Amino acid sequence: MVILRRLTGILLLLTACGGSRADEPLTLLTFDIPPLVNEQEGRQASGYAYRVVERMFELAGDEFRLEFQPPKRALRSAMELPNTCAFPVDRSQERETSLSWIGPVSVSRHGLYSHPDRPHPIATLDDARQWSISSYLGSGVGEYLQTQGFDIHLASKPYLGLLMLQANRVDLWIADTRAAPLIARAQGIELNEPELVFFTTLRSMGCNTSIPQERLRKLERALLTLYRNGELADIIELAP
Amino acid sequence: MRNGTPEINLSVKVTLPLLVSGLAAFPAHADVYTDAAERWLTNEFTESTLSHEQQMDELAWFSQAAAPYRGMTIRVVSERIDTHVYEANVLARAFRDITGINVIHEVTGEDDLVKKIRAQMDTGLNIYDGYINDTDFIGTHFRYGKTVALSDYIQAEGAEVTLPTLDLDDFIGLDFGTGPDGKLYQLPDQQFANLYWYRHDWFSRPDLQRQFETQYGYPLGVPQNWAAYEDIAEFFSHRVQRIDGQRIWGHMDYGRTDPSLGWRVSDAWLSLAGAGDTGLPNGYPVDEWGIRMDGCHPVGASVARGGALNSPAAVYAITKYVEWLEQFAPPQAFELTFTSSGEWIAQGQVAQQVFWYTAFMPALTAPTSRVTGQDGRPLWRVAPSPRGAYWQEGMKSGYQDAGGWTFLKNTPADRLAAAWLYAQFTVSKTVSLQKLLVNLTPIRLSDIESEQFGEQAPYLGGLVEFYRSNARNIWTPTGVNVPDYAALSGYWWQHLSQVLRHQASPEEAMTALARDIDITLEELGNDPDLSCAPQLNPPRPEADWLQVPGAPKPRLTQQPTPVTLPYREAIEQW
Repeated sequence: MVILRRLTGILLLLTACGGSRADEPLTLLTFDIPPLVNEQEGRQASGYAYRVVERMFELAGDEFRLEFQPPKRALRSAMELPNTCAFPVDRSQERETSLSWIGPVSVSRHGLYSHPDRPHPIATLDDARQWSISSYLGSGVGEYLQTQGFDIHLASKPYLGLLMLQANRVDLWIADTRAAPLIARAQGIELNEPELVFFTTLRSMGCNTSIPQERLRKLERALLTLYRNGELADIIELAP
Repeated sequence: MRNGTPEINLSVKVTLPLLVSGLAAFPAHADVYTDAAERWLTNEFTESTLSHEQQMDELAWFSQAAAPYRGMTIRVVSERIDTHVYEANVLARAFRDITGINVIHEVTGEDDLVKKIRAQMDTGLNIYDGYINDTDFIGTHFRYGKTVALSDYIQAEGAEVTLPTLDLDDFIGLDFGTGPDGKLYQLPDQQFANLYWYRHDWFSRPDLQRQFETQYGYPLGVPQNWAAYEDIAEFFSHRVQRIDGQRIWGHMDYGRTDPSLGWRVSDAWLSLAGAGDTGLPNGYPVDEWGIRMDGCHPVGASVARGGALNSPAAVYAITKYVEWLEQFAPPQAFELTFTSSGEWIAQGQVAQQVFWYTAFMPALTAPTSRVTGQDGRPLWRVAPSPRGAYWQEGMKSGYQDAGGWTFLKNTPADRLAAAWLYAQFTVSKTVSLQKLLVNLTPIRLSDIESEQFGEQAPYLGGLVEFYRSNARNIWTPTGVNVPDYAALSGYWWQHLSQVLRHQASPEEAMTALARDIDITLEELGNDPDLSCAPQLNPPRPEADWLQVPGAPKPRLTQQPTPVTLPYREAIEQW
């Protein structure tokens, strides 16, 4: 009887796992970072990274359920929770083994912004070593500069880094060059052109490694098709 | 011009109208750029195989050729080693001052670079204007048709922006970036080798020599095979244990689950074990990745398809890598990567390292190094890596990394021209010797033969001797057998990490790796646009392949006798 119950339990577990894989939509965690992703009411979103993801799922015939979380938490959840992915996440060598990746869903240029009243001319990234810099938790670029020994201060959300700059708590703010003017406008803050656009990241969808590879490969193939047929050229505009 | 002979073997001319228009259009700027050139020659590029006047001429050419592109900002990316940090911080700034072209030279993880160049090829987006991409990619570049053939470019649309004194024949690694079609796709920017490293001072101590010979029955010296390496590792880690009161280790390596775990093995570890075939540069028909070729077509990696990736020799290679890491390396090694481990030996706790990248040599010669004597000379030496039980004469002896300037065809023409100018600046004779003396990653024969580099020999533990010998030609990068490096390289770390976590045996992991490589080769074979596309062999019983001479080789029943040599004799092989 004990053996039978145990076998039944295993069968139920296998069935549940199989059902979860085949039937359940993936949970996609994202965060408000216009114009890549704009958070709207009722767990709705817009933005070009969101459109890329949406089209990819459509073409692959797969489904997802969207949730908003702060970027660092979204990243951690994708690492820890089955059936879960996060986007748009900076893909990097340091993160490569923690997630299964599909992308890019966006390519981001990252700039160093100074306060309009306190400009800091910068020719190469090394010039910025003397300054304190804000970014946000979960930013691959912020982590990258931290490992290089830069003085980095990480806020919980992208716009808070700008507020740190505004409050004179840091000398420079790192932001996606397309997101920065929108964030500044939303906060009613004047912002100059970046002192230096110093780094480019591939923003991707990072998925929990337990998600079956075949499901992810199907999504990846769909994304590649969208790139190759030119559909994404209008969605992803990349400044030189 | 040098010795009165033209220095470039391809017909490249700078048209007079360009020079005139460039100078005429920016008369005021010309002085600014000339002043900048003079300043940089005085303050930074003090060591060169060119005279000061020749350097000024070369920089004047850059300034004039750059005139149409002044004010432009270009983006290039390279991996994270000292040479590229120097380029990003020093050369990019110098180039801006001398030409008026701004360069954002990003430095990032090697795996990031792989993903980025692959993304540009897949998406068609102009993500970067230039890449310093390892020539391990040469099999990708010549097959996909998405990469600019530099040998064509400099004769046609790029002729006006090609440095007359580029002197391609002076580059020691030109073959590494050249495809089977004879075209140059990647121009070397830096090169470093993978060599055996050891503490010459400890190996020279009479008390340790006596103790070793008493216990093992042969002299302590530079190991010629893995059997001797293993004895020496065991000797220092378990028997000697402490020197001058400090815990020391007979072996060093890295094992963190990280993309660099993959290239720790794919960078010729299997060929050192002897898994592939004889023949240079990579072994033919089976190469250092265990991939069998038929002509220019990859036909399989698994033994069942004639490859050697899960052959007894490959399993032996992985078994030794893991055993030595677990038995003889410091515990921290499991959490280290390519980057973090490379500089570890400078702390002075390691007796030898079987597989050490010379890109990290600046860490050994830095003031903080604990492996430098009071006279400023190294306490260590580099020598040819010992070979595994399956290795035979005529096989590849080691790996060399050659980061080469690489440009994709979807780069807008003006951005490509400006990026090509910057690329040439970073390898020009005006700057290359100074770059070498600071970073120790040579690319030009003229620099290697220079008096200045020769004077460094007593301080570099054998590096100068290596690059002045024929060894620089037979320590080779991954070759043309790998048809899509980005698609295939990720499998290595995924399967190897399972062995390190004891989730798979070496045999299970290598069989799974060979299967994944075969599946991807088959998929690539379906791409009608791919040159020399894979054409998989049908699977056959493994025994059929194992009984045929060459790779894949059957399991050896006897291990070789350990062999060591004195240092001088060991490096005579170079």
